[in-house]
Amino acid sequence: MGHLDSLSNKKRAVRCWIFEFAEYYRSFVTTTTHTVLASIALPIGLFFAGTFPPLIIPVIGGYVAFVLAAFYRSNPTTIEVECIPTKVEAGNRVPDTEARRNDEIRFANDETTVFTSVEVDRDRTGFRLRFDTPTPPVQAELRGRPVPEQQYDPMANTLTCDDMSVYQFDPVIDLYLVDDASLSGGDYYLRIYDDETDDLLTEYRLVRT
Amino acid sequence: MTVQSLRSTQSPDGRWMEILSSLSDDRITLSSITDHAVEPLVDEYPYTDQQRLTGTIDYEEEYDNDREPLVTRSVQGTFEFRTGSQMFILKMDTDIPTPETIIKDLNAALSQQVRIYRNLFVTPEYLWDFFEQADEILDITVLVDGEEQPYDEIEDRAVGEVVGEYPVESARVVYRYNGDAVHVKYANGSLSIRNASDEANEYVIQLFEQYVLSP
Repeated sequence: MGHLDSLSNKKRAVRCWIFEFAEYYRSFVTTTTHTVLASIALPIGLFFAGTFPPLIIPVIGGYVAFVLAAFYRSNPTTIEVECIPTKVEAGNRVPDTEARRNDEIRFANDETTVFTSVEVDRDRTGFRLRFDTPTPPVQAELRGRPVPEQQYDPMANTLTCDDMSVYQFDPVIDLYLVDDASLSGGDYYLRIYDDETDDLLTEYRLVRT
Repeated sequence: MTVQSLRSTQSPDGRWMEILSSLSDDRITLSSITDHAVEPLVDEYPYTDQQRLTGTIDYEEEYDNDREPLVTRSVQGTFEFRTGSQMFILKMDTDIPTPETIIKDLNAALSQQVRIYRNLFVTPEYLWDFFEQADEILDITVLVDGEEQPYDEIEDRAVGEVVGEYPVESARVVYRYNGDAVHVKYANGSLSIRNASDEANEYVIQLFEQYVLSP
Protein backbone atom coordinates (compact mmCIF):
# COMPACT_ATOMS: atom_id res chain seq x y z
CA MET A 1 0.00 0.00 0.00
CA GLY A 2 1.17 3.55 -0.34
CA HIS A 3 1.09 6.46 -2.63
CA LEU A 4 0.97 5.32 -6.26
CA ASP A 5 2.95 7.26 -8.80
CA SER A 6 2.48 7.12 -12.58
CA LEU A 7 2.55 9.45 -15.54
CA SER A 8 -1.11 8.79 -16.41
CA ASN A 9 -2.21 9.62 -12.87
CA LYS A 10 -0.21 12.87 -12.99
CA LYS A 11 -1.86 13.77 -16.28
CA ARG A 12 -5.25 13.05 -14.80
CA ALA A 13 -4.46 15.13 -11.72
CA VAL A 14 -3.38 18.04 -13.94
CA ARG A 15 -6.58 17.73 -15.95
CA CYS A 16 -8.68 17.82 -12.79
CA TRP A 17 -6.70 20.82 -11.50
CA ILE A 18 -7.29 22.72 -14.75
CA PHE A 19 -11.00 21.96 -14.56
CA GLU A 20 -11.21 23.21 -10.96
CA PHE A 21 -9.17 26.37 -11.71
CA ALA A 22 -11.32 27.18 -14.75
CA GLU A 23 -14.46 26.86 -12.61
CA TYR A 24 -12.94 29.11 -9.95
CA TYR A 25 -11.73 31.76 -12.46
CA ARG A 26 -15.14 31.92 -14.11
CA SER A 27 -16.67 32.98 -10.79
CA PHE A 28 -13.67 35.11 -9.70
CA VAL A 29 -13.86 37.48 -12.70
CA THR A 30 -17.31 38.62 -11.58
CA THR A 31 -16.10 39.68 -8.12
CA THR A 32 -15.27 43.21 -6.94
CA THR A 33 -11.74 42.07 -6.08
CA HIS A 34 -11.07 41.19 -9.67
CA THR A 35 -12.59 44.45 -10.90
CA VAL A 36 -10.24 46.42 -8.63
CA LEU A 37 -7.26 44.28 -9.62
CA ALA A 38 -7.99 44.67 -13.32
CA SER A 39 -8.60 48.39 -13.00
CA ILE A 40 -5.10 48.78 -11.48
CA ALA A 41 -3.19 46.28 -13.64
CA LEU A 42 -4.70 47.20 -17.00
CA PRO A 43 -3.71 50.90 -17.16
CA ILE A 44 -0.25 50.14 -15.75
CA GLY A 45 0.19 47.39 -18.35
CA LEU A 46 -0.93 49.69 -21.16
CA PHE A 47 1.44 52.42 -19.95
CA PHE A 48 4.40 50.04 -19.98
CA ALA A 49 3.34 48.68 -23.37
CA GLY A 50 3.81 52.17 -24.76
CA THR A 51 7.06 53.01 -22.89
CA PHE A 52 9.01 49.86 -21.99
CA PRO A 53 7.26 46.66 -23.13
CA PRO A 54 9.34 44.13 -21.08
CA LEU A 55 7.82 45.59 -17.90
CA ILE A 56 4.48 44.11 -18.97
CA ILE A 57 5.83 40.73 -17.81
CA PRO A 58 5.93 41.51 -14.07
CA VAL A 59 2.50 43.16 -14.37
CA ILE A 60 1.03 40.02 -15.93
CA GLY A 61 2.98 37.86 -13.49
CA GLY A 62 1.59 39.85 -10.56
CA TYR A 63 -1.95 39.40 -11.87
CA VAL A 64 -1.50 35.63 -12.32
CA ALA A 65 0.14 35.28 -8.89
CA PHE A 66 -2.74 37.16 -7.25
CA VAL A 67 -5.35 34.95 -8.95
CA LEU A 68 -3.51 31.73 -8.05
CA ALA A 69 -3.10 32.82 -4.44
CA ALA A 70 -6.82 33.56 -4.23
CA PHE A 71 -7.59 30.15 -5.78
CA TYR A 72 -5.47 28.22 -3.25
CA ARG A 73 -6.87 30.26 -0.35
CA SER A 74 -10.37 29.17 -1.42
CA ASN A 75 -9.32 25.54 -1.83
CA PRO A 76 -6.85 24.96 0.98
CA THR A 77 -7.05 21.19 1.46
CA THR A 78 -6.59 18.33 -0.93
CA ILE A 79 -7.50 14.73 -1.42
CA GLU A 80 -5.47 12.72 -3.89
CA VAL A 81 -7.05 9.69 -5.50
CA GLU A 82 -5.28 7.23 -7.75
CA CYS A 83 -7.03 4.28 -9.40
CA ILE A 84 -5.69 1.04 -10.79
CA PRO A 85 -8.16 -0.76 -13.08
CA THR A 86 -7.76 -4.52 -12.81
CA LYS A 87 -8.58 -7.63 -14.82
CA VAL A 88 -8.53 -11.36 -14.15
CA GLU A 89 -5.77 -13.26 -15.89
CA ALA A 90 -5.45 -17.03 -15.45
CA GLY A 91 -7.73 -16.84 -12.43
CA ASN A 92 -5.67 -14.13 -10.75
CA ARG A 93 -6.47 -10.44 -10.44
CA VAL A 94 -3.79 -8.19 -11.93
CA PRO A 95 -3.52 -4.50 -12.81
CA ASP A 96 -4.89 -3.66 -16.26
CA THR A 97 -2.00 -1.48 -17.37
CA GLU A 98 -3.34 -0.88 -20.88
CA ALA A 99 -6.68 0.34 -19.54
CA ARG A 100 -4.94 2.55 -17.02
CA ARG A 101 -2.74 4.06 -19.72
CA ASN A 102 -5.88 5.01 -21.63
CA ASP A 103 -7.72 6.32 -18.53
CA GLU A 104 -10.25 3.55 -18.95
CA ILE A 105 -11.95 0.96 -16.80
CA ARG A 106 -12.81 -2.12 -18.84
CA PHE A 107 -15.63 -4.52 -18.11
CA ALA A 108 -15.24 -8.24 -18.69
CA ASN A 109 -18.34 -10.45 -18.30
CA ASP A 110 -20.22 -7.31 -17.24
CA GLU A 111 -18.14 -6.63 -14.15
CA THR A 112 -14.79 -5.25 -13.07
CA THR A 113 -12.85 -4.19 -9.98
CA VAL A 114 -10.83 -1.03 -9.39
CA PHE A 115 -8.14 -0.74 -6.73
CA THR A 116 -7.98 2.79 -5.38
CA SER A 117 -5.47 4.60 -3.21
CA VAL A 118 -6.60 7.70 -1.37
CA GLU A 119 -4.40 10.19 0.45
CA VAL A 120 -6.03 12.96 2.47
CA ASP A 121 -4.27 16.17 3.44
CA ARG A 122 -3.28 16.00 7.09
CA ASP A 123 -4.76 19.44 7.73
CA ARG A 124 -8.22 17.94 7.34
CA THR A 125 -10.18 16.47 10.24
CA GLY A 126 -12.60 14.55 8.02
CA PHE A 127 -13.67 13.82 4.49
CA ARG A 128 -16.60 12.77 2.36
CA LEU A 129 -15.96 10.95 -0.93
CA ARG A 130 -18.66 10.23 -3.48
CA PHE A 131 -18.33 7.47 -6.07
CA ASP A 132 -20.45 8.30 -9.07
CA THR A 133 -21.45 6.16 -12.05
CA PRO A 134 -24.39 6.41 -14.45
CA THR A 135 -26.99 4.16 -12.85
CA PRO A 136 -28.37 2.41 -14.80
CA PRO A 137 -26.52 0.84 -16.55
CA VAL A 138 -23.57 0.81 -14.15
CA GLN A 139 -23.68 0.00 -10.45
CA ALA A 140 -20.70 0.74 -8.21
CA GLU A 141 -20.17 -0.71 -4.76
CA LEU A 142 -17.25 -0.43 -2.42
CA ARG A 143 -16.08 -3.75 -0.99
CA GLY A 144 -16.57 -1.99 2.34
CA ARG A 145 -15.06 0.72 4.48
CA PRO A 146 -11.27 0.37 4.31
CA VAL A 147 -10.76 1.53 7.89
CA PRO A 148 -13.06 1.02 10.94
CA GLU A 149 -13.32 4.77 11.70
CA GLN A 150 -15.01 5.37 8.32
CA GLN A 151 -18.64 4.93 7.26
CA TYR A 152 -19.89 3.69 3.90
CA ASP A 153 -23.40 4.44 2.64
CA PRO A 154 -24.14 2.10 -0.29
CA MET A 155 -27.29 3.96 -1.30
CA ALA A 156 -25.57 7.35 -1.60
CA ASN A 157 -22.25 5.67 -2.47
CA THR A 158 -20.31 7.86 -0.09
CA LEU A 159 -17.36 7.07 2.14
CA THR A 160 -17.07 9.43 5.07
CA CYS A 161 -15.08 10.06 8.18
CA ASP A 162 -15.73 12.83 10.68
CA ASP A 163 -12.75 12.46 13.00
CA MET A 164 -9.97 10.83 11.07
CA SER A 165 -6.68 9.38 12.23
CA VAL A 166 -5.84 7.40 9.09
CA TYR A 167 -4.93 9.57 6.13
CA GLN A 168 -4.00 6.93 3.56
CA PHE A 169 -6.28 4.02 2.68
CA ASP A 170 -7.25 1.80 -0.24
CA PRO A 171 -10.94 1.48 -1.17
CA VAL A 172 -11.74 -1.33 -3.60
CA ILE A 173 -14.59 -0.57 -6.00
CA ASP A 174 -16.65 -3.26 -7.71
CA LEU A 175 -18.52 -2.18 -10.83
CA TYR A 176 -21.35 -4.12 -12.47
CA LEU A 177 -23.45 -3.62 -15.56
CA VAL A 178 -27.07 -3.88 -14.52
CA ASP A 179 -28.42 -3.21 -17.99
CA ASP A 180 -27.62 -4.72 -21.35
CA ALA A 181 -25.84 -1.54 -22.35
CA SER A 182 -23.03 -1.18 -24.86
CA LEU A 183 -21.47 1.82 -23.04
CA SER A 184 -20.56 3.37 -26.36
CA GLY A 185 -21.42 6.86 -27.53
CA GLY A 186 -22.42 8.06 -24.09
CA ASP A 187 -21.18 9.75 -20.93
CA TYR A 188 -20.13 6.64 -19.05
CA TYR A 189 -17.54 7.45 -16.42
CA LEU A 190 -16.58 6.48 -12.92
CA ARG A 191 -16.11 9.83 -11.18
CA ILE A 192 -14.87 10.26 -7.65
CA TYR A 193 -15.74 13.56 -5.96
CA ASP A 194 -14.85 15.39 -2.79
CA ASP A 195 -18.50 15.51 -1.76
CA GLU A 196 -17.92 18.44 0.63
CA THR A 197 -16.78 20.78 -2.15
CA ASP A 198 -18.15 18.88 -5.16
CA ASP A 199 -14.62 18.91 -6.61
CA LEU A 200 -13.91 16.21 -9.15
CA LEU A 201 -10.90 14.24 -7.91
CA THR A 202 -10.55 11.75 -10.75
CA GLU A 203 -12.52 10.13 -13.55
CA TYR A 204 -12.20 7.09 -15.78
CA ARG A 205 -14.14 6.22 -18.89
CA LEU A 206 -16.10 2.96 -18.65
CA VAL A 207 -15.67 0.57 -21.56
CA ARG A 208 -17.30 -2.76 -22.28
CA THR A 209 -15.06 -5.37 -23.89
CA MET B 1 -24.38 -30.07 -2.05
CA THR B 2 -26.24 -26.96 -0.88
CA VAL B 3 -24.50 -23.63 -1.23
CA GLN B 4 -25.53 -20.51 0.66
CA SER B 5 -24.64 -17.08 -0.74
CA LEU B 6 -24.52 -14.17 1.68
CA ARG B 7 -24.98 -10.52 0.67
CA SER B 8 -25.84 -7.20 2.27
CA THR B 9 -29.36 -5.90 2.04
CA GLN B 10 -31.25 -2.74 2.96
CA SER B 11 -34.83 -1.62 3.13
CA PRO B 12 -35.27 2.16 3.29
CA ASP B 13 -38.48 1.95 5.32
CA GLY B 14 -37.98 -1.42 7.02
CA ARG B 15 -41.31 -2.99 5.97
CA TRP B 16 -39.65 -6.29 5.17
CA MET B 17 -42.51 -8.75 5.63
CA GLU B 18 -45.03 -6.55 3.83
CA ILE B 19 -42.74 -5.95 0.86
CA LEU B 20 -41.67 -9.58 0.47
CA SER B 21 -45.24 -10.88 0.82
CA SER B 22 -46.54 -8.56 -1.88
CA LEU B 23 -43.87 -9.35 -4.47
CA SER B 24 -45.41 -9.91 -7.87
CA ASP B 25 -43.21 -10.94 -10.77
CA ASP B 26 -43.36 -13.23 -13.80
CA ARG B 27 -40.09 -14.97 -13.06
CA ILE B 28 -39.71 -14.91 -9.29
CA THR B 29 -42.09 -16.13 -6.62
CA LEU B 30 -41.49 -15.86 -2.88
CA SER B 31 -43.67 -18.14 -0.79
CA SER B 32 -44.03 -19.67 2.68
CA ILE B 33 -42.53 -16.56 4.25
CA THR B 34 -42.20 -16.93 8.00
CA ASP B 35 -40.61 -14.92 10.76
CA HIS B 36 -38.19 -16.75 13.06
CA ALA B 37 -36.39 -15.78 16.19
CA VAL B 38 -32.64 -16.23 16.35
CA GLU B 39 -31.22 -18.76 18.77
CA PRO B 40 -27.70 -17.59 19.67
CA LEU B 41 -24.99 -20.17 19.08
CA VAL B 42 -22.06 -17.86 19.84
CA ASP B 43 -21.21 -16.00 23.02
CA GLU B 44 -22.38 -12.37 23.18
CA TYR B 45 -24.32 -12.66 19.94
CA PRO B 46 -25.15 -9.05 18.96
CA TYR B 47 -28.42 -9.56 17.02
CA THR B 48 -30.64 -11.50 19.42
CA ASP B 49 -33.70 -9.39 18.57
CA GLN B 50 -33.46 -9.41 14.81
CA GLN B 51 -36.09 -10.81 12.46
CA ARG B 52 -35.19 -13.81 10.33
CA LEU B 53 -37.59 -13.88 7.41
CA THR B 54 -37.27 -17.15 5.53
CA GLY B 55 -39.16 -18.68 2.66
CA THR B 56 -39.04 -20.47 -0.65
CA ILE B 57 -37.92 -18.84 -3.87
CA ASP B 58 -39.01 -20.18 -7.25
CA TYR B 59 -37.09 -18.79 -10.20
CA GLU B 60 -37.91 -19.18 -13.89
CA GLU B 61 -34.71 -18.95 -15.84
CA GLU B 62 -34.74 -18.30 -19.56
CA TYR B 63 -31.68 -19.47 -21.40
CA ASP B 64 -30.62 -19.79 -24.96
CA ASN B 65 -30.04 -23.39 -26.01
CA ASP B 66 -28.07 -23.33 -29.28
CA ARG B 67 -30.32 -25.88 -30.90
CA GLU B 68 -33.69 -24.50 -29.85
CA PRO B 69 -35.45 -21.17 -29.19
CA LEU B 70 -35.37 -19.68 -25.68
CA VAL B 71 -35.93 -22.38 -23.03
CA THR B 72 -37.40 -21.94 -19.57
CA ARG B 73 -36.03 -23.81 -16.59
CA SER B 74 -37.43 -23.67 -13.07
CA VAL B 75 -35.16 -23.76 -10.07
CA GLN B 76 -36.10 -23.62 -6.44
CA GLY B 77 -34.23 -22.62 -3.33
CA THR B 78 -34.70 -20.89 -0.02
CA PHE B 79 -33.99 -17.34 1.03
CA GLU B 80 -33.50 -15.52 4.29
CA PHE B 81 -33.50 -11.83 5.21
CA ARG B 82 -31.87 -10.99 8.55
CA THR B 83 -33.10 -7.52 9.39
CA GLY B 84 -30.70 -6.67 12.23
CA SER B 85 -27.43 -7.51 10.51
CA GLN B 86 -29.02 -6.54 7.15
CA MET B 87 -27.94 -9.73 5.48
CA PHE B 88 -29.58 -11.66 2.65
CA ILE B 89 -28.94 -15.39 2.24
CA LEU B 90 -29.81 -17.41 -0.83
CA LYS B 91 -29.61 -21.19 -0.52
CA MET B 92 -29.60 -23.29 -3.68
CA ASP B 93 -28.78 -26.91 -4.45
CA THR B 94 -27.28 -25.82 -7.75
CA ASP B 95 -25.05 -22.94 -8.84
CA ILE B 96 -26.79 -22.64 -12.22
CA PRO B 97 -28.14 -20.05 -12.61
CA THR B 98 -25.60 -18.12 -10.58
CA PRO B 99 -26.71 -16.27 -7.45
CA GLU B 100 -25.92 -13.01 -9.25
CA THR B 101 -28.46 -13.80 -11.95
CA ILE B 102 -31.22 -14.55 -9.46
CA ILE B 103 -30.37 -11.57 -7.22
CA LYS B 104 -30.32 -9.22 -10.21
CA ASP B 105 -33.85 -10.26 -11.16
CA LEU B 106 -34.99 -10.22 -7.53
CA ASN B 107 -33.73 -6.64 -7.18
CA ALA B 108 -35.64 -5.64 -10.30
CA ALA B 109 -38.80 -7.25 -8.89
CA LEU B 110 -38.36 -5.54 -5.48
CA SER B 111 -38.05 -2.11 -7.20
CA GLN B 112 -35.76 -0.45 -4.62
CA GLN B 113 -38.12 -1.21 -1.72
CA VAL B 114 -35.58 -3.78 -0.64
CA ARG B 115 -32.13 -3.69 -2.13
CA ILE B 116 -29.74 -6.67 -2.23
CA TYR B 117 -26.13 -5.75 -2.87
CA ARG B 118 -23.34 -7.80 -4.38
CA ASN B 119 -21.01 -7.05 -1.49
CA LEU B 120 -21.13 -7.61 2.25
CA PHE B 121 -19.35 -4.28 2.86
CA VAL B 122 -16.71 -5.71 5.15
CA THR B 123 -13.81 -3.88 6.77
CA PRO B 124 -10.55 -5.78 6.17
CA GLU B 125 -9.57 -5.63 9.83
CA TYR B 126 -12.83 -7.28 10.94
CA LEU B 127 -12.83 -9.80 8.12
CA TRP B 128 -9.42 -10.96 9.27
CA ASP B 129 -10.79 -11.28 12.83
CA PHE B 130 -13.43 -13.63 11.41
CA PHE B 131 -10.85 -15.70 9.50
CA GLU B 132 -8.75 -16.02 12.64
CA GLN B 133 -11.67 -17.91 14.24
CA ALA B 134 -11.39 -20.61 11.55
CA ASP B 135 -10.14 -24.07 12.39
CA GLU B 136 -8.30 -24.27 9.08
CA ILE B 137 -7.15 -21.65 6.58
CA LEU B 138 -6.77 -23.14 3.12
CA ASP B 139 -5.74 -19.97 1.30
CA ILE B 140 -6.18 -16.21 1.48
CA THR B 141 -5.16 -13.71 -1.18
CA VAL B 142 -4.97 -9.95 -0.81
CA LEU B 143 -4.71 -7.02 -3.21
CA VAL B 144 -1.39 -5.20 -3.30
CA ASP B 145 -1.62 -2.20 -5.62
CA GLY B 146 -4.27 -4.04 -7.61
CA GLU B 147 -2.37 -7.30 -7.85
CA GLU B 148 -3.65 -10.46 -6.15
CA GLN B 149 -1.03 -12.15 -3.98
CA PRO B 150 -1.07 -14.87 -1.30
CA TYR B 151 -1.16 -13.14 2.07
CA ASP B 152 1.90 -15.01 3.36
CA GLU B 153 4.07 -14.37 0.28
CA ILE B 154 4.16 -10.58 0.07
CA GLU B 155 7.65 -9.28 -0.46
CA ASP B 156 9.16 -7.41 2.49
CA ARG B 157 6.02 -7.91 4.59
CA ALA B 158 5.70 -10.28 7.53
CA VAL B 159 2.33 -12.00 7.91
CA GLY B 160 1.62 -9.87 10.99
CA GLU B 161 1.97 -6.72 8.86
CA VAL B 162 -0.47 -8.05 6.26
CA VAL B 163 -3.25 -9.37 8.47
CA GLY B 164 -5.94 -6.70 8.85
CA GLU B 165 -4.11 -4.21 6.65
CA TYR B 166 -4.67 -5.29 3.05
CA PRO B 167 -8.04 -5.74 1.29
CA VAL B 168 -8.85 -9.45 0.97
CA GLU B 169 -9.51 -10.59 -2.58
CA SER B 170 -10.36 -14.22 -1.86
CA ALA B 171 -10.28 -16.72 0.98
CA ARG B 172 -11.11 -20.35 1.66
CA VAL B 173 -11.39 -21.32 5.31
CA VAL B 174 -12.98 -24.13 7.31
CA TYR B 175 -14.87 -23.87 10.58
CA ARG B 176 -15.91 -26.82 12.73
CA TYR B 177 -19.04 -26.97 14.86
CA ASN B 178 -19.91 -30.10 16.83
CA GLY B 179 -17.74 -32.13 14.49
CA ASP B 180 -19.30 -30.68 11.33
CA ALA B 181 -16.96 -28.96 8.90
CA VAL B 182 -18.27 -25.77 7.29
CA HIS B 183 -16.43 -24.64 4.17
CA VAL B 184 -16.49 -20.88 3.67
CA LYS B 185 -15.37 -19.06 0.57
CA TYR B 186 -14.98 -15.29 0.34
CA ALA B 187 -14.65 -13.86 -3.16
CA ASN B 188 -15.66 -10.68 -4.96
CA GLY B 189 -16.94 -9.13 -1.74
CA SER B 190 -19.43 -11.86 -0.87
CA LEU B 191 -19.46 -15.07 1.14
CA SER B 192 -20.59 -18.57 0.24
CA ILE B 193 -21.03 -21.40 2.71
CA ARG B 194 -21.05 -25.06 1.75
CA ASN B 195 -22.32 -27.55 4.32
CA ALA B 196 -25.10 -30.05 5.02
CA SER B 197 -25.89 -29.11 8.63
CA ASP B 198 -28.23 -26.17 9.26
CA GLU B 199 -26.95 -25.66 12.78
CA ALA B 200 -23.30 -25.58 11.75
CA ASN B 201 -24.15 -23.10 8.98
CA GLU B 202 -26.02 -20.91 11.45
CA TYR B 203 -23.03 -20.99 13.80
CA VAL B 204 -20.72 -19.66 11.08
CA ILE B 205 -23.24 -17.03 10.01
CA GLN B 206 -23.52 -15.80 13.59
CA LEU B 207 -19.75 -15.78 13.90
CA PHE B 208 -19.58 -13.60 10.78
CA GLU B 209 -22.26 -11.25 12.12
CA GLN B 210 -20.45 -10.95 15.42
CA TYR B 211 -16.92 -10.35 14.11
CA VAL B 212 -17.56 -8.53 10.85
CA LEU B 213 -20.95 -6.83 10.79
CA SER B 214 -21.54 -5.69 14.34
CA PRO B 215 -18.30 -3.82 15.31
